[in-house]
Amino acid sequence: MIDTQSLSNPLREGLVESRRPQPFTMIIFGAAGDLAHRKLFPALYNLMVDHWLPHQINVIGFSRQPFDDEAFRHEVEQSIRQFSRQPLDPQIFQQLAAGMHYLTANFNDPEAYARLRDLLNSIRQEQHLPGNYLFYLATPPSFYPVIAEQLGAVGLNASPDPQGWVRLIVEKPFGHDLDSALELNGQLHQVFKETQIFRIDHYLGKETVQNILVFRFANGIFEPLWNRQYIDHVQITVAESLGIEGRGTYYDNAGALRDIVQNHMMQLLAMIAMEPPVAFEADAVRDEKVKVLRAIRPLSTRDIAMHTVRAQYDEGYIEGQKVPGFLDEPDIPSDSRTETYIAMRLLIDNWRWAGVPFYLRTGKRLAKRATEIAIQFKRAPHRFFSQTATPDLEPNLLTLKIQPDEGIALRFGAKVPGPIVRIRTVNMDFLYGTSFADQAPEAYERLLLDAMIGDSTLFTRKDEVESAWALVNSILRGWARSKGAIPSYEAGTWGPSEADELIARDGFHWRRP
Amino acid sequence: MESETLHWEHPNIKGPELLRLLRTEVPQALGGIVPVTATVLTLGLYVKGIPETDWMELAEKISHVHPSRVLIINPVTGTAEDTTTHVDAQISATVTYRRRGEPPTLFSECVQMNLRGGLANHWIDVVQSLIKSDLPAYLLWLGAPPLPGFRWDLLSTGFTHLVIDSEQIGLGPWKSAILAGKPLGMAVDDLYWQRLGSWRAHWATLADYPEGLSAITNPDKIVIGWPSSHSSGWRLLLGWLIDRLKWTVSDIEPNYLSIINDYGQTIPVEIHEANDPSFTFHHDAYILSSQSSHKELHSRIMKETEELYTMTDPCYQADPVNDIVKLLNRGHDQLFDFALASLIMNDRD
Ligand SMILES: NC(=O)c1ccc[n+]([C@@H]2O[C@H](COP(=O)([O-])OP(=O)(O)OC[C@H]3O[C@@H](n4cnc5c(N)ncnc54)[C@H](OP(=O)(O)O)[C@@H]3O)[C@@H](O)[C@H]2O)c1
Repeated sequence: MIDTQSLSNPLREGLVESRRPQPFTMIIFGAAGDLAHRKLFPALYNLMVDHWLPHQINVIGFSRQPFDDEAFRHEVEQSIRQFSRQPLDPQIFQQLAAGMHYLTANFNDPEAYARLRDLLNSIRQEQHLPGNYLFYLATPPSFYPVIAEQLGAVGLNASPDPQGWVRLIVEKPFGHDLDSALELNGQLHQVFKETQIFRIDHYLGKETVQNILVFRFANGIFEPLWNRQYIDHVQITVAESLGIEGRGTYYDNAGALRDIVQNHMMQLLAMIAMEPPVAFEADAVRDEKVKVLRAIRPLSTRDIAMHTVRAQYDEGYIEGQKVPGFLDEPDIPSDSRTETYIAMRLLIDNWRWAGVPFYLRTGKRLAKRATEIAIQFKRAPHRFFSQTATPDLEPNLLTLKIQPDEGIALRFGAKVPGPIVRIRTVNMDFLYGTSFADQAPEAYERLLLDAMIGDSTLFTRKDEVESAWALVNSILRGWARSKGAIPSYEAGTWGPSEADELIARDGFHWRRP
Repeated sequence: MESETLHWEHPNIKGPELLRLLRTEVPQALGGIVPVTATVLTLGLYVKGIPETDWMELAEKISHVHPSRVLIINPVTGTAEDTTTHVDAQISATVTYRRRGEPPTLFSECVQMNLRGGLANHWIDVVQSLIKSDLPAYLLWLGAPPLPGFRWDLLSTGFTHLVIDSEQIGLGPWKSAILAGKPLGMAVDDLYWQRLGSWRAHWATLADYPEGLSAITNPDKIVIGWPSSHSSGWRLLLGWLIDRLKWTVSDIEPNYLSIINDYGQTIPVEIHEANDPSFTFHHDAYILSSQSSHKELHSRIMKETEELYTMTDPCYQADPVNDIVKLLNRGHDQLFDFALASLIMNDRD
């Protein structure tokens, strides 16, 4: 048997085609579920079409739905036909399908894990493969510790080969609050080392989110301005026009703070505010992210009352269609206090950001779908055009647009043609879609590939998750103490008036994405 | 996103007129609206002497992926009517519409220039003024290579990259361009080198295995089979290995090379003619052989008579649109310069 090892490979250096993983077997727990169908199978297939996968790849589905290998392959084929960004090519699919197997099994059944181990061993021996295993937990979160423990019990937490690797990908949500996140980390660490655990936040797989770091650190002109001297405040918006889309039970348990702020928005905040890492490497990048998350000023009970707003959507119109209010959605109790909207002000207590407010808002059923980060600069120090400038001349604003129209816009003042000095606000717009016509890979493709290679830069580390939960926890506790009515906003608007008041107290207003 | 492509024909115009037309025609066609420009590069296609090709179609395909100004440079010499200095031009512009109320975007422009009279020789003068400033400018040379004495110095003040394809004619005719371009900051890129990337990636993957690694990086002997010993193909691959593995060349004969590895040992390299390109590395009892045939690159690692491992990858095939699109995505590959420096620039062939 040839086993692979991570000897330094001089032929890889500088090669444009450098990121190909070693042969491995991927085991998907919950392979009959929604995530596997909509995201994982299509991502695997697209990686294969684009020649990113190694020559030998085996995929084992592990779920309770009774399938045999053939039925499983058929399921996978259907999901690729429906959800893949590239059309199904039967020949390429055949290559993927040849290595697909399925175990009908219950996550709670110890015997099933012995069967899994035996199957892995026989694949390894028959195909002369190294013992490289990638476990993917696409299951309800309550099973994460169960599966980890069972894998440990049959020795699958370590490779049978001295040079092999075993990695575990864990889906969101990672915990329900700080205590449960700590507990889950503890349970996983009983079996796996931190370097083996890959916690997914699919936001980090998005091209435009990765581009925040490129934009900041590959361009010389922005970084000198990126601090309290020049930046007035920052607004981060994650707006959705969708409602809870049939996921009432899940959503009522989670709410916007857990569902969006704890993971995605904290990641966006960290990327915008972090210090330059010493290298673009997993721990260097994540060290800096954790530092900035830890520097967020803790919120006192008074701060929570003053600087956070939660709300629920009422009935209203989205694209001309009448939609029900949150409390009238299926599976939502009529006395639910779960927030579908949150706005908040945060301060970061460090040298770079002292005194610069960061405003975050996210909600469902807002006027439109938009994820953006807007950096508002201070006004010019001396306004010698004040006599003639139009009154609506706005300060410079740099907007990083993440979805749906990815791009960057810079707002500045320019002279209106004519004999007197009149200044008007104009926008310099750069749209990814127009300058790069190449189809970008899906977030899950990028993240799966990184996990196959063992690069955890775009996965969240234990301390990152815990820092984000610590902040969110304090807000949850503060809210639990306040018994007042929860504000509401009409579906299809930009949120409750309380959120406008929150930002207006500092003399600003929410920008319109 | 909706888009439309507008076309114009301008026979018999003077060179400077072309620049004015490029500035004014699109806004005129859009009823006076000046579009936002998305163009990120200039691409020249030098096509002199190649018959019967729809260059505009090719240009439009490339600019569909990379928003660009594509200049098709076709110097026409020979017949009597060609003696007056003028350009016969065709222009097409693709405009995209994002949203109602927002100005349209000028996504790309393609200009075919049949250059006649004095311009057939001095085409650089017209082309210089059409190159977009401060953005990368690539010149893809599709015709026969220029004769010695060509003004590479003039060309390289406009174009940042000269793109060639050395598969058919080798690299010999381009050496003067490579030498002249370098001090002036013009990089030379070879589409054949890019296609040979399938070999490099294939070997890099084999070198993830200990047996593959020692066979390729520490061979006792290398045997190369190639359709022509004059080809740049095996030279580019061997040059890459020499550079990456810090070897030096001690002797070059037409069918034989002698290489010294970093331990001071000599590695003999034999080259012979064969239908299908192949490289065989011998190391102790191991043999790693790689062969390209039927659009596939196939390798196997043997230990004496036991086959340890086989691997097959697709081999990149020449395709003018795909090749250039890929190159524009990746930009200049420094490994190419290193490979040239380590073997080809000091080779007589
Ligand atoms: N779906 C998404 O787009 C998405 C996005 C982000 C994160 N996630 C996360 O990804 C995970 C999976 O989500 P999902 O939407 O794919 O859920 P799902 O559709 O419910 O899939 C879970 C799968 O696990 C199976 N299963 C449940 N209990 C089992 C048991 N005891 N033994 C064996 N199999 C069992 C289910 O089988 P049955 O069908 O028989 O119940 C189902 O096939 C969740 O943690 C979710 O939060 C999902």
